[in-house]
Amino acid sequence: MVPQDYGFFIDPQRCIGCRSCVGACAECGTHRGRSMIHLDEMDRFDSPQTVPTVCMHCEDPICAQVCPSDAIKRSEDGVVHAAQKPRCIGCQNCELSCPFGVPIVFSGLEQMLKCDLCYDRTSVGHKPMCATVCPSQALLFVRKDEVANLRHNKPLRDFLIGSVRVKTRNAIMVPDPDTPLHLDAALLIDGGL
Amino acid sequence: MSVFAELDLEPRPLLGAALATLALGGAVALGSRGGRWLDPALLGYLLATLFACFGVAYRYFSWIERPATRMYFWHTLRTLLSPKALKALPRMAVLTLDQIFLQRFIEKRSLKRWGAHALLAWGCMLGFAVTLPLVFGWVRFTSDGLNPDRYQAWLFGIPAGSFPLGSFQAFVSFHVLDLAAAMVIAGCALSLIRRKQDEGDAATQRFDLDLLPLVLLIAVSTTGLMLTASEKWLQGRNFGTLAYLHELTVILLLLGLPFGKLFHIVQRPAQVGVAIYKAEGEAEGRLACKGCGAGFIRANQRRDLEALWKVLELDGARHGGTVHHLDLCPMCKRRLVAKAQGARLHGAFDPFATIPVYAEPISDPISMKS
Amino acid sequence: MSTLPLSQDQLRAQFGPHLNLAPPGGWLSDPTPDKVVETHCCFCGQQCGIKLKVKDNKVIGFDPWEEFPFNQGKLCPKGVKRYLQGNHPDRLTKAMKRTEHGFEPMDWSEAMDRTVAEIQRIQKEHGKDAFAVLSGVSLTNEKSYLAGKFARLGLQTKNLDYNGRLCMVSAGAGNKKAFGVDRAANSWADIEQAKVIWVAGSNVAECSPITTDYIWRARDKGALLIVVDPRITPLARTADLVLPLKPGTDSALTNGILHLLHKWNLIDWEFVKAHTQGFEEALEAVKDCTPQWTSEKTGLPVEAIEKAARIWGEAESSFLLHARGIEHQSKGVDNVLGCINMVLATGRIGRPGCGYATITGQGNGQGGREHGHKCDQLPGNRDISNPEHRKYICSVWGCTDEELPGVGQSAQEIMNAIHAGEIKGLLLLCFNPLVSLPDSQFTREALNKLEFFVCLDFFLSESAQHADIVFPSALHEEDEGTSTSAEGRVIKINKAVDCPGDARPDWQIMVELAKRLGRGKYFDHFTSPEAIFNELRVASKGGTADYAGITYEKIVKNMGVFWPCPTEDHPGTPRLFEGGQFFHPDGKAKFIPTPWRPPMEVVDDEYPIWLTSGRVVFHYLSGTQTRRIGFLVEQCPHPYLEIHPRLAEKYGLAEGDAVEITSRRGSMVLPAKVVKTIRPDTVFIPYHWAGALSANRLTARHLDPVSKIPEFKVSAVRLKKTTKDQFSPELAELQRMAFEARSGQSQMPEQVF
Repeated sequence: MVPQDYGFFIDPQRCIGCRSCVGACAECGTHRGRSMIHLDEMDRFDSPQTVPTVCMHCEDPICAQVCPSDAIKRSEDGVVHAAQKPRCIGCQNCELSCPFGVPIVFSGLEQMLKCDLCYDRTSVGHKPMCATVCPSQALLFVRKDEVANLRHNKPLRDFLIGSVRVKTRNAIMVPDPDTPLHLDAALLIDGGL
Repeated sequence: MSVFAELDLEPRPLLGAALATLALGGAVALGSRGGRWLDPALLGYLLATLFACFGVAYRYFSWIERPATRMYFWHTLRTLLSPKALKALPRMAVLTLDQIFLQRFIEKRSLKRWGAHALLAWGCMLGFAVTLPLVFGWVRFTSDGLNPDRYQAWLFGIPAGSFPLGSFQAFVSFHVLDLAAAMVIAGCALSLIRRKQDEGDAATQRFDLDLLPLVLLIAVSTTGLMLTASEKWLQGRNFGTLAYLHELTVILLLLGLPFGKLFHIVQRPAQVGVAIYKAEGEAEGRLACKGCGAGFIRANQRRDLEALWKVLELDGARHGGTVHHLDLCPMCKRRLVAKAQGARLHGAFDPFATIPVYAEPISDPISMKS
Repeated sequence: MSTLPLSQDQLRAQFGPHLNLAPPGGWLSDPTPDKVVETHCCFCGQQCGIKLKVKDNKVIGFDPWEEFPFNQGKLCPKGVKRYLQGNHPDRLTKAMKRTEHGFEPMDWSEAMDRTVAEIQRIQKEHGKDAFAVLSGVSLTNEKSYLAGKFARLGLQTKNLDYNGRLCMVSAGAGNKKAFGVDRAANSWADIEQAKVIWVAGSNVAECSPITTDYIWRARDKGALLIVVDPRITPLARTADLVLPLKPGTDSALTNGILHLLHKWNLIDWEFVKAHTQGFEEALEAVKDCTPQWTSEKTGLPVEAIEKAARIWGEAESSFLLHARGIEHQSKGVDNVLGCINMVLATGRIGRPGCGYATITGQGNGQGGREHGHKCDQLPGNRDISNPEHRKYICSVWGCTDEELPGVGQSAQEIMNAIHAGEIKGLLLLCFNPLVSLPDSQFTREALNKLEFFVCLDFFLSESAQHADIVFPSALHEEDEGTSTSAEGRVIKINKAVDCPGDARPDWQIMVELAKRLGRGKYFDHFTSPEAIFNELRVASKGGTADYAGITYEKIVKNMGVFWPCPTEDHPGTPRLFEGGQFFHPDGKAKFIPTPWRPPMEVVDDEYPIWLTSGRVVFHYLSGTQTRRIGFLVEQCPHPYLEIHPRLAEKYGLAEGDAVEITSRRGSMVLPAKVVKTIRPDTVFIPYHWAGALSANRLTARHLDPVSKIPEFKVSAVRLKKTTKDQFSPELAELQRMAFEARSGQSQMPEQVF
């Protein structure tokens, strides 16, 4: 069980693109040698901004809803696990439907893998590998009541995709957490990413 | 009725399960010539098998009721029933060989894992292939009435040859189950070792879901082997107790079949359907991401997922309806989160101003000569 | 003659760089360790704590060390993958000699005999000083101290210097002038208390990533961040004010700020009067440095300069950090002094949340520059030309004053002297001058002129390829010792595994050489790193860098001890200058005027574009280690030319196009990386590679007159678009290696079976 009073707080603004998280993720016991965290450049031409993405662990995960083999399960502690190996048939529904672009389907293996909050570490009281090593602490894993002391911004766990409301276990840091964060494609398309 | 109300069974899967169980019952009745060829010693097994049949069928039908599963199920069914089926047949045969029989996708995950799983899977299959016809009364062996040194095999109540007691044929017939048991025990042991070594599995596994099936399989196989041992070397000592124990473990395994991990055996063939679906989509082409322009989603999956989202009552239209959530590739979705967060930071007091104050103040480089 | 025996391709096939992609036994092996060793990262000056997992005498992975106070488990990608430098196919395990057929393994003792004979021959024929030692500060304090003693008493040469000369010497010289001591004024804990943070010439996010979090913690409490850099680095991207000045104009900016602080009366007069001297002269030097003048020199808008001065001047508390950007210049010391003047004028030093530091770059850049590793220095940061200091060290070492040589030449000057034929022999350890010194073609020529060249290294670095004899030395995790982090925290490095083959720690090799040279009496008692450290403690006693009260036990117990620590019951000194007490005899700090002068090379019609160079987060210094680690090479396989789209357009360059860059020293062809995050009059190349890919083919050997640091950060170049077939074969090879590393990952089996 991952303790309920611990949360994962993500602030892409702090990310320095060093890829420590990517390297460290591959070192953990669950999927040795293969990294489950994404680190993308926003657009290197314009800016050095980079975006770290771990699974947000939704309350009612869309990936699980669209999974034909009923392979994606959320445990009682709110962690959405990678597809169960005997069931996953590699159809990619989850990869294409996840609002945050998290799951990865490895072709050949016919198997979806994704960030599982380093369950082997967090279930025994450690921090996830990425949040432990992150030099800028863009990835922060602490007791939920400590965040207010550590951060100027506040955690938001509420997103809008189209008119779909998605609530998550992990949080993104914003100044005004009471309004859901609208992931409007206009930001990408009109903004000319 | 109250028990059923509590179980909250769905009517359609219930109907399907009932029909499947009836069909199996009919086949048993027919194959055993109205029950005449049923082995009374195996009646307990028969009842458990019928229950497992009901349970597995129920779960299977409710599984394909899931909107996402239905999408693939009907698609595969349509393909199978369409004229395209003939064309797809060789491909399906190859896929079935590769994925269901050889399980090559597990080999790609890891060779050792594949080895353990192959032992386990083929041991089980072999065991069921031998025992089920016996349980159903489709196959029986009796002593040849005239010649006590010969065995008589019966298929559907029809004599199907006889062989001498000490022959190779007899040895194989009576010990094939021992081989199956040895395979299953080896496969289970390897899996348990693997689970112990794997930090990830160690953290996420549950006794009832992941370990119990392995333990049960070992119990079934061990008691089966002990039966042979008792008969061969111990002059049948404890045979009765062992037979009872064996029956008990098998019945437990069969009763658990619909609920636990082993249900994936029935699910797995769906993978072949998915492979065909992907191939068709590939032929149709990939659509471009509306964020970055790179091709990513297969056209058929884009259509079907949108329909699926509708059924699930998810409205993924974005950007004033011109873009659907499914039109963005995973990378653009990830960038969008940071973009949305960055936009939210503007205006509010924060030290995270995204645009530097004086980022680009310099004129033409040639005028920079000192 | 030290020319290469084989072609570069043949050497690469034999000695790499090859990539280590996975832990020993592969990803599928059982990751359960036999033991876990608490130690530190082998790379930069932050010396992050890390735990190494050891199995069967091999390092098989790492665990974050969350209890270590500096980094609390945080690591950059180099730290995460540092363990892959062990168990490496390129590792040297035998002594080798260079023959016509390439490098051949040889008997250890024979290698020693030959080395000693050559040293003695050269010194007999050309004088003691004709044999030089060039060393490095990725070595522990013990090895750095020993290198100094070995050169002076073992080889009896004055010509010892180190690669810290390419790193923090400008900061060291500036600090000694202004404060009388050379160390970060504060521990990093003060950064997060500051209300304004000024970062000058430091790509913090990439070169000292862990420091990023300290800065962000301050910003979360409302601190403002000002970044001075010609490039928009990842930290600068979010800064409150970015000052992207023209390369080589840093002292113009600091002068301009001091001018405004005075004009607006934002001076802490009380502090200046009580604790400093020389302010009048400093003001006199900046009286004409108006915002208009500053703007003209730096290329920054007047309002940006005024805003910066306003924020800095009005701050309640502040922390100023600088690094190689301002130090790697022919006026590096001036730039450092300009920053210190800004700090002293506002009196914000020596208090909680008020501080100043250079971010030392190399692993032991701090400790390695304190104990006689420099050509003009003796242990405890003593001066080799000061009779009192000489007397004390002679008493510790048990030698006479005549035996102790005087001031030698600095690193670049030694290379110049080798080129000029004045120095005939060289012992090189922990240094890869072919990559890290400026004007690498010149360096190559110099190495080829050596009569005898012996090298201690664990991989055959590009410089080592020119050596006559190579001794295999120990990796960081194969020996114990101490090092001193950028904060001035002395930390303990613990041994995790034994050396493979004949390899052994550098200190053992130096001690054995000294014995064979007949100088054993000064070295025989060094039987362990701790024995060396205990002598270092005595030798540093009473110096500014006083380690007398530091013991191995105390370091482990306290997780590091800040020097000065004069007695064993002293807790160490995280914050210097408390109560305005500085280290000059009068207890006061000194303002040193920094009148403006331009860089040694400026742009002109022929070479119209500024070139600056630096690091990327995935590589460390000359890349001898990091260019051999698969993950790091996969992220950044080869150098590139960072160029602004407006400048790129002028030359018709698009992303990935081949561009020929030419300076007065040489030229190279690199792919263009077109980004808006650099000044349009400036281009940037990361410097971690060798040969045709070495940024230092282009840089000049201009030195700062005081610190003798080369001017890496300012050169003039011209560009020409060319075709991709002009890329060097090395570049294609690196691209291929990175591609293989990537596809290796995606095809890899899943996990422990």
